[in-house]
Amino acid sequence: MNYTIMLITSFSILLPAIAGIVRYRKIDPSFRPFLILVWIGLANELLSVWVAENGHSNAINSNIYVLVESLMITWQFRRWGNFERVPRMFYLLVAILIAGWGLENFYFFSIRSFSSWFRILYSLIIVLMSVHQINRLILRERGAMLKNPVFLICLGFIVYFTYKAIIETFWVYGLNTGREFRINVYLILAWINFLVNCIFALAILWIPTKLRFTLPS
Amino acid sequence: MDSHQASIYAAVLIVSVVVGLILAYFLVSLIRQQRRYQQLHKARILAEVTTLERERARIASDLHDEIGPLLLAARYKLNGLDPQSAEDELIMKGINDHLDGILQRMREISNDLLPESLLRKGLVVAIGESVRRISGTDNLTIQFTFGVVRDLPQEKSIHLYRIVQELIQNTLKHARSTLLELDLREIRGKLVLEARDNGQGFDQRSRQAELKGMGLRNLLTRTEILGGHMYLDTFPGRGTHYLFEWPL
Repeated sequence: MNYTIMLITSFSILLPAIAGIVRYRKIDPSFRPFLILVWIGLANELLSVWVAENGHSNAINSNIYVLVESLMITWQFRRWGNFERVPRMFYLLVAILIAGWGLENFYFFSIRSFSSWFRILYSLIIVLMSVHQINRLILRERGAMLKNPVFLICLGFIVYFTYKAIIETFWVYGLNTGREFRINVYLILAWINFLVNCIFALAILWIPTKLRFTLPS
Repeated sequence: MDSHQASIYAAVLIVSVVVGLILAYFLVSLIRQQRRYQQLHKARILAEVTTLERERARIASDLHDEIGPLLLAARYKLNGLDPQSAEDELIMKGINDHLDGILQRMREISNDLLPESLLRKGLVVAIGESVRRISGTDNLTIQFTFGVVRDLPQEKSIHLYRIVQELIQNTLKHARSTLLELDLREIRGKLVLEARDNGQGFDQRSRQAELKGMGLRNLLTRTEILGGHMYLDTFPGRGTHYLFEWPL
């Protein structure tokens, strides 16, 4: 039952993925990294199911996916202008993410096993970038924030990656000993994932064909 | 799960709910603050622009109705004098020319501050006159096309006219362009103004980041007062394309 729920909630990424396919040519190009990320996420879910059905661990593809996810989201924030004032910060963050991922998967631990340190690191970075982006929006957005796709996507990131960082912290402290316990905790994240995918689908539907010109008030 | 794991799981659930509540509160307060902030911002810019327009209208009216007649009266009195010599006649002619020049310049300033044609004949005619007057300055040709545009309230017309003035000034000052195309028409219940030049363009993101460009801010302020949206498409070396949409 739990496995079925996790499967359904994981594949809720189909909602934003389909919305993205339908609207790809009609939306502002600055949102493309996010759409590509959604499709990569869907491909990773499919691959994970296929690997698991064949009796193997999905650790390798998951470990590669988290690196791709962190870089794509950082790229998306760059497209939204998060690094306008300090462009070098983008390259610094990319270097930190790649170095952190490399050290975790090839030096301290193995790419064939799950480990949590990089997941905590990139979750925190994404939450901080999202908060920064929302702060920029408060000064610039003249309409309803809840209809702003950037706000919705950042909100989704904050919710999902905050929980992800908390749960990964539990694993770092060795609380993942029991299988049933681990599945139950992941179930919470799975429902949050479902909620966030619905928010992402809504955000994609509200992405405008061209971005309005704004200045901070 | 054993009892130890069950208690940890309960702790995880409680933490999740608490974090969820904090996030929900953060979200609600953020949206409320943004709404309040934007209302204040709109009220402030509306007050600023209204004061500015009132002051312009007052100065235009003073120039036209008070200074103009005084200068005309002075010229009539001067012309009523009987010159005693050719030298006096020459001086009188010089003063007359000066007065004509002052009257002409005063009419231009008054017209710039608030065009009479805008008040009497409407927006399209006023823009057409302004375009004819400026076109050809600094090698810039301005083409103005328009479709059916319904009569607009005077306040709205003034804002739209100022936007066109600002676009022309921006193009003259910064674009190094030889052609500016302006188009105004109603499309699907919206008033749409497009301006496209073949000038040098600029890096929009860096301009926004550096908070430069009073011209852009003025355009945006008036667009927002009218409840519309402004779209800007420009890149260094590729000209500038402005698109404005206002609900009717």
